[in-house]
Amino acid sequence: MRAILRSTQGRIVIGAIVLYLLWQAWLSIAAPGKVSPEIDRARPRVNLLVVLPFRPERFHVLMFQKFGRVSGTTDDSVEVRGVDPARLNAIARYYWVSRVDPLPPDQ
Amino acid sequence: MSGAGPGGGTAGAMGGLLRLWNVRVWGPYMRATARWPGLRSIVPFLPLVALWWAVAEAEVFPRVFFPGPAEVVASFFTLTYKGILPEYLADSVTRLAVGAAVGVAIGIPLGLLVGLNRTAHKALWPVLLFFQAIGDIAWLPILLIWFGFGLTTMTFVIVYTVLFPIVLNTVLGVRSIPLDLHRAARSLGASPARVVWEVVLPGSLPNIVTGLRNGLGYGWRALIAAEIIVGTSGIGFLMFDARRAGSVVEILLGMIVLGVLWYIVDAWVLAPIERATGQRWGMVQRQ
Repeated sequence: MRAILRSTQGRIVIGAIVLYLLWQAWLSIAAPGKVSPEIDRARPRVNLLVVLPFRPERFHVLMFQKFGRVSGTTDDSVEVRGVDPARLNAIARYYWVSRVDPLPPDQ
Repeated sequence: MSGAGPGGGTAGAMGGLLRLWNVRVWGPYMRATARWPGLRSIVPFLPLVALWWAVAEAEVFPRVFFPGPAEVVASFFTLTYKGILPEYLADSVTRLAVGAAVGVAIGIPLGLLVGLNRTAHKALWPVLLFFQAIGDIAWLPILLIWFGFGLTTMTFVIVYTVLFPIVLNTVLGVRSIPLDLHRAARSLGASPARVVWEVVLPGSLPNIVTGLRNGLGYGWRALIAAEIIVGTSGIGFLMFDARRAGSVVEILLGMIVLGVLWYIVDAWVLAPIERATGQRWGMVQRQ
């Protein structure tokens, strides 16, 4: 361990690991702030409008399918239905998710 | 004397250029790399990137088929911004790590068994050679029928690929330890388990690490091939998916990411392990 700390490579690797862990910690801290308070967490399943800072692609749709049924996309958001409220933070944890709003009832 | 012969002027000029090169270029380069060893990894690529950039700028080939470094860098930032590249990279690295861990967990004990036990060697050696001859990708058709397009198929392929170099190199390492060392340890009162721990494992470690390096190298290539054929994510999938959209930029980015990642794993993880074990104990000497 002392040898690792002495070498430049070792210090860079440890620095990268520390930065990665800090980044993960930041994602966990920031996630609840992205979830709209208007979402009714008392319900067993909720319908969401996940807002992104760009036009969603197939990759993003596939990612959200892990959480619920994707029923459509708009310019910068994805409709995800039937999501367990306990998993809201997991959706918001993605750094490329701007906001998680409730899906308007008429949609 | 330099200007005496007909070629003297040329020789003198060449000598002058060589001195100038040494003073102006090579000397500063050596001093800089002594101070920042990381430069040694980057500088050899600069002419390659410059050539790539020049060919792309000259538009020898249509830009859409041969994009330049700037487009690839832009693609890197775009895919990172959208979360695609980090996610796929994490998937590939995780698959390789899991496959490698399982391969090591099976390979080293199996190699020790085959290397130490004559009966096991007789029974398993032909089988090992037989299955080694069947390429990892050759398993894909039957694996797809058995397990479908999923993680199990990819893990099997990686474990299979990583396993054989580790097993065969471990056997080689074990069998290259002089019998006198076994006898010496036994005569000093070491139990068979302690002989394995104190003599066999350290003695065969250079070979094991070589097997690990080779195995991971092969495993990395097998993973990309499996992701291309089987995958729904990963760097291999990213490249193959880009083919559908005709995005040469993303294919090139995937290739560069593969190369850089393997270089980092090999130079920053595996080589230090080798130095910390075999070389440190004097069993492998640097040239």
